[in-house]
Amino acid sequence: MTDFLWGTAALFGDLQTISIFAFALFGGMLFGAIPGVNMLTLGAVMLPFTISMQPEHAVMLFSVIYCAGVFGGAITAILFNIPGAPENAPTCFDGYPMTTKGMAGKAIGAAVSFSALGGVASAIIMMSATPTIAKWAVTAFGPPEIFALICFGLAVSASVGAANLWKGWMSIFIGLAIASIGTDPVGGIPRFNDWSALGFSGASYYLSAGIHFIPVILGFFAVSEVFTQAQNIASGTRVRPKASLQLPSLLEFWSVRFTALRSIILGFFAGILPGIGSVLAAFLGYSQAVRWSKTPEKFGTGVLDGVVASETANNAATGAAMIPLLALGLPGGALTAMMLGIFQIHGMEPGPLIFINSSDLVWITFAAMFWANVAILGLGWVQTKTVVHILNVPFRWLAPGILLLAVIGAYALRNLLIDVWVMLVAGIVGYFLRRTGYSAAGIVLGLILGKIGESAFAKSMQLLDYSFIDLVSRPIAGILIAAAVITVISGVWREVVRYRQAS
Amino acid sequence: MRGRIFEFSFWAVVTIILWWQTSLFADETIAEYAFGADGWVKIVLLGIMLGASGQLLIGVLAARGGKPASTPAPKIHPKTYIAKLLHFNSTRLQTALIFIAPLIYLFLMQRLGFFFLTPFFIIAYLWILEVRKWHYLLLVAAAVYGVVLLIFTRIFYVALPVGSWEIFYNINTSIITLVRLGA
Repeated sequence: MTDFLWGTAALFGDLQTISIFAFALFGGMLFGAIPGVNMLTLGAVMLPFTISMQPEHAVMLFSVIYCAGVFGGAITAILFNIPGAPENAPTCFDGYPMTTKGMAGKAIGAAVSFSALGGVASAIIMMSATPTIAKWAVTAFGPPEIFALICFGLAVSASVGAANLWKGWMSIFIGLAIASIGTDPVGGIPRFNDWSALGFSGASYYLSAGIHFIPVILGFFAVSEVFTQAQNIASGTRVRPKASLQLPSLLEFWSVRFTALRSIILGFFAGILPGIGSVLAAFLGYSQAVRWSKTPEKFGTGVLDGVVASETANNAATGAAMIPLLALGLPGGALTAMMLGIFQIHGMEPGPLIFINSSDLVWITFAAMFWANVAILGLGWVQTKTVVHILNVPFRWLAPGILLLAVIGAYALRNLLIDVWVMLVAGIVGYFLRRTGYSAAGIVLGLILGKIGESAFAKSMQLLDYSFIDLVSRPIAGILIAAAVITVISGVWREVVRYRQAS
Repeated sequence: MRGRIFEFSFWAVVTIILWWQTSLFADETIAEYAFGADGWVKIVLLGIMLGASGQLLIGVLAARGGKPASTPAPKIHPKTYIAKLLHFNSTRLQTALIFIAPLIYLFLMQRLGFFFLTPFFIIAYLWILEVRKWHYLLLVAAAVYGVVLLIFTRIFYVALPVGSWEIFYNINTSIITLVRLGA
């Protein structure tokens, strides 16, 4: 506690530190909210400037950008079905339907409040138990456990947003198939890059690098939504959403307490694992909210729990991601990797000794992350009152702008026009898949987790000498795989019961 | 039921093509990894086929359950029919344009560049979405284009396509220079 108070005093006792904090907060929220640029863009732009900064200022800058950036993407996800970042994708599932039902204020209000709650809770756990948790997580979670966790995440997500279980599973497998395009994670052998036998030869180099998930996400969510709404305009069936400013009531906040608590726990543990981070956290939070809900069929139609689950989980992962970075020097994602770069620039080495050798840096960072999440609550409520008015603008005026943002977002990723083609094709395919009951969420999740899953599976098999018995004998992996199997069986059972009732 | 069979056939064809593709990299062995580059992919493809088969099974069971046949279409007066047909055709054309316009935009972007082409695309898409008043077309196009240029070109220096045809390349770079004037 004394350390935290010292960190807070150091943060707010100096004008330069406050300025950096405020810049990171607003910058992160802004870059997180605009598709086409994201918190990584801001991080990359700011990285050279950190050379002349004090190390504690530089690390604090990046940690606040991280917190604010993850929150910022929720606004466009809710208002336009465009996730600002991949970790905001599950927020679209219920956030955007809430907007179409005239409940945008409630959705954004919930996103703001529970993003802050997830972030604050994560910061508190991070401050109290970083070295212990880091040691446990990294030693207990090897490739078999990560593979089992991904199996479990995919199993519980299979029913999200699809017309039936089969289509849900197919969506996941389609995503996994797209993820397998490009070099294989073990031997680097190119896959699905040679289509010359069918007369296609131009895309070989592109396909060797694999299909990035950002153009696919933009296509499935933003572009297909523009096509859907534009088609509704053409057929005269579009209903304009009301720009409601009604915020969630205290009773509604209370009703989602278990969802929030579950998402904090899931988000935190997913955030600790290197390479998994806030994307899986958000999907796990959402799918578990569906799993434990008394009315799972309502998810995807605009329920508050859906927004709360994903936004709490992805923000809970931000604090957790700092744990392996600070305690063990293991970055969990691109932004934390940049932070590792800052340590190297300043001649420091993250690890257990950092808590002794550079406690100033650690506690200013912890305090900044805590106060950034508190600030998100205040700023977010102001933002809620203002951004909702965008809905008063007719959609036909917004549609070209949304398409342009998606085009810029896809192109800016690697400066490749073919990424924009992928996005457009994903938009058209996504439009038809959604109409036929497939789940965009499942495809995206399969795509994001496919590479990590395959890599973890291959490493596990090499590690365990191809013994599946050894894989399920490991306590954590065994429990997660058993939970995945039970989830699949119970899903099939529910489908059979539903079919019997219908017939 | 025909829809389900079509859907199953579609996924079966996709799976067969992809399975054939795995043969192109299946023989490339990876040292110390027994499943090779194609092991994971084949499991995934089997998963797609399993899902498609489950879908088909549901369809077959539903058909056996004997769902009522679709009711015959009511008779419509010829004049109303023609009016409906015209409306239907114009809606279909509009729907087709909604999908085709971005594809044309992207096809031309490589040649004409983002900066030159975008105002025309915005106006065209607004027109497709039934914005017909010329002052709205111009104002919205100017506002959207202006905001995009301000945010992405002037403030964030995001690189965007400048066109491969020389004359358009020059126009695009001139627009960029103009936007960044004094920045």
